[in-house]
Amino acid sequence: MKLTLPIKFGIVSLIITLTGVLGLAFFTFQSSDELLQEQSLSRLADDVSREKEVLKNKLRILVEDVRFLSGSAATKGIVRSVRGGGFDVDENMTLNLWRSRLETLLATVLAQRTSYSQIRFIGKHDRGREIVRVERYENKIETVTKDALQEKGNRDYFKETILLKPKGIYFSDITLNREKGKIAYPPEPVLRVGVPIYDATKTVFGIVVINVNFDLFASSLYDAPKHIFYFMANQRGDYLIHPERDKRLAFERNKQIRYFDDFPDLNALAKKPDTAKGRYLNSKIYPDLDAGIVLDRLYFDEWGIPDRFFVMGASARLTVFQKQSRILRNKIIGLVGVTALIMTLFTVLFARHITRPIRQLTNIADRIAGGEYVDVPVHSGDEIGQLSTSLGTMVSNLQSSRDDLLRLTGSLEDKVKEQTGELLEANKEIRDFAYIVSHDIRSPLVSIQGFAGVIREDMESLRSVVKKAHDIDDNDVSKINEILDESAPEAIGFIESSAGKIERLISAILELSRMGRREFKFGVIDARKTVLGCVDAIATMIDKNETEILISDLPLVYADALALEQIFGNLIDNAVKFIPSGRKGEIEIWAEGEENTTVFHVKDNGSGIASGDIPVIFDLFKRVGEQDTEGEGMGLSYVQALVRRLDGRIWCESELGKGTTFSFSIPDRIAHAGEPKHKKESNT
Amino acid sequence: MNAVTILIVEDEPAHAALIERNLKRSGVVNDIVKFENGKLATDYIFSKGDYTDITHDYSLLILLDINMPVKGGVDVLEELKRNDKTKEIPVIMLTTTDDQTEIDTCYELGCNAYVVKPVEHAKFSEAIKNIGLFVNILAVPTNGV
Repeated sequence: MKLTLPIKFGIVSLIITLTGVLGLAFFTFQSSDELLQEQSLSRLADDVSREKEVLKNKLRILVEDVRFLSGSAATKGIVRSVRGGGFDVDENMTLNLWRSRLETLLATVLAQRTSYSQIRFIGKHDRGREIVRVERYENKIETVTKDALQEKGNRDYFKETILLKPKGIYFSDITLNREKGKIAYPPEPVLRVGVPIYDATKTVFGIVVINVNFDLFASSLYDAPKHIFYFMANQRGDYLIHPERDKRLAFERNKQIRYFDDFPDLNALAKKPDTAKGRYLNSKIYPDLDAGIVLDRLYFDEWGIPDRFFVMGASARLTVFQKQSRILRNKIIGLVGVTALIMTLFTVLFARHITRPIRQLTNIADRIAGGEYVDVPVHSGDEIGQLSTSLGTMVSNLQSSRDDLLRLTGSLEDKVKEQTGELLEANKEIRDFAYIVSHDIRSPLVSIQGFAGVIREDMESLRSVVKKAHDIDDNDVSKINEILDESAPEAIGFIESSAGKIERLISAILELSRMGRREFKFGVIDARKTVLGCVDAIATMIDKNETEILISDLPLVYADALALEQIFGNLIDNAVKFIPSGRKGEIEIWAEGEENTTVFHVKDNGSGIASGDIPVIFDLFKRVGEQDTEGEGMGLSYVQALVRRLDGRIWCESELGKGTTFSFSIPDRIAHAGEPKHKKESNT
Repeated sequence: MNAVTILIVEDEPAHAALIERNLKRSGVVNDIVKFENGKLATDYIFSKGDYTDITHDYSLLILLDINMPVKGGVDVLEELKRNDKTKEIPVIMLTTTDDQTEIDTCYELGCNAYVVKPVEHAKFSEAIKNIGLFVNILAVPTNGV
């Protein structure tokens, strides 16, 4: 298939556009993919931060609750009642009354805080026996009766809390709740928060402790959106909060399921503090796990336990990011396709527009190739404009070349015609020669033969007469006399004259052929001297005719001396010869210089030549007009041949009865006499 | 007897003499007049120029050479055939060549016969004798008038 220029442009443009746009799109997509991931992780980190703050607030409320309870009038009343042996003298209240007051208070608090499972007031004096205990049991708040109260003196939370200074606060590890040393069912992760209680003498009396159901306490962590989950771990890394139940508090089942086992290399990461932000926030992408993770730490520094913390984390599936990035990619691909399509369309249109002048030029060039001469329009000054101009110049050059060629051909034709003319003339001379041989020479031969026959017959007659000589009668005598006196002399006379004529003709032919062969010796000749010499040669004839000859100043010419002498000799001789007897002859000889030639004229006032005869006067042996002069009629053809050999031309103007002017031209070669035209002659 | 006069128009005197001789030898007794060129011949025929005082009744036979100065045989033939008085005059063209175009021209113009002048005397005599015979035949009707 032949592709047009616009289509080629279009294809190239499509390739360029697609490469460019796709490349750009690819890099944009690549970086945006990363950006999107970072953004997603950052958002995830914000979520974790928020959750941490929520939890921290809950812990603050928890701490306030426990302090409020420890500082309550009922708590203090109980301390004073116990120290007063069962009676509070300050308030005039019994221990049982204060206990009842505190039970009511604790029940109120439990009712308000759904995540609290148990609040207790534990005294030190009776081996750590509980003084007041209110608990949530199957969604009901129950106050434990006096006989059901237990001794807790040997429990860690009691021992540790009791050692705390006033205002100190205790946070337990999160463990599963136990009843009488066994894990209670349903399993319930418990956080115990306790404060010490001091009496008036600054002696430690006991503790107030709140048990918190940590699953309920941190329930918001389970409300994560789809594809995200939150988790919490203690300082050892054990999961406390995790969507999968089996992973929570696995150490209680003598197992170790820790977050840095799920997310390898995170251990080092988790310990690397983000000093710039003062936080332990960090993130990592796990392409193999199809997950991204964000970590944070909840520190207990505001409660005077700076080394204590919880690990809080969130994990999101990468498919979430990838989904976003896939949407972006599809959008980009769509945009790229549309852009490329538009660009291609534009390019094809633009290419069509740009190549229109080229296509026009192609069309014009085709027409030029077909031989047409077309005007090439120039529309612009750009490269195509220049091309148009060049093409136009080419066409006009082509045209002028063709014109030159035509002109040259024309002049060549002229030259050929001229040469053909010369050849025809030469040919005519040859034909003339054949005619002469068959006619003019034959004519005297007819006579010779005829009269020779006559003589033979005469002699026969004479012989018969002489045979009878013994008796010659008068008649015979007169016959003999007739033969001897008339017939024979006449015959002999004609034979002689005819033979003489043949001789002259033959010598003329010989002369003509001699002349044709003779090599010219070119030189500078004084034409006047030549003419004077010719006039001298026929002085007697001139005198006889009383002819006056006027000779103007004649120039120097470059010619063959003998040829010029013969030309002038014949012309002057003719001029004198053809002056009718009785007329006073006037002959004028002058010259004219024309461009590159010298023209000589010989004018006479002789008998003139009939206009019909002028074309044949230069023919061989042709004699026109009254035959009252001697000659063989070969002078003018001889002259013409000589003039032609001098590269000249001869012609004649005449009026019958008034005179004739012969003119001939010869090239003016004096200026460059050193380099004659004929090489042959220059050798001599 | 009003005999036919024979005109010999021939620039070559030798040829004219030969023709006259042979005509006489073949028994022609008619008057013979010779002219050196065509102009003199037409002057004689039409009583012009030097021949204004000549009168004749056009009982002529013309032997006409083709190639002559001043006025050639073809011109003479043309002039004779143009004129009602002279167009019946028998003309025999004489030529030294057997150039067919020249002969054709003469026949076109109305010549009665042509004779190539042979170089050989015997043939020339024969040709002229034939003309003599022609003249004798030609003379018969004239005699009857």
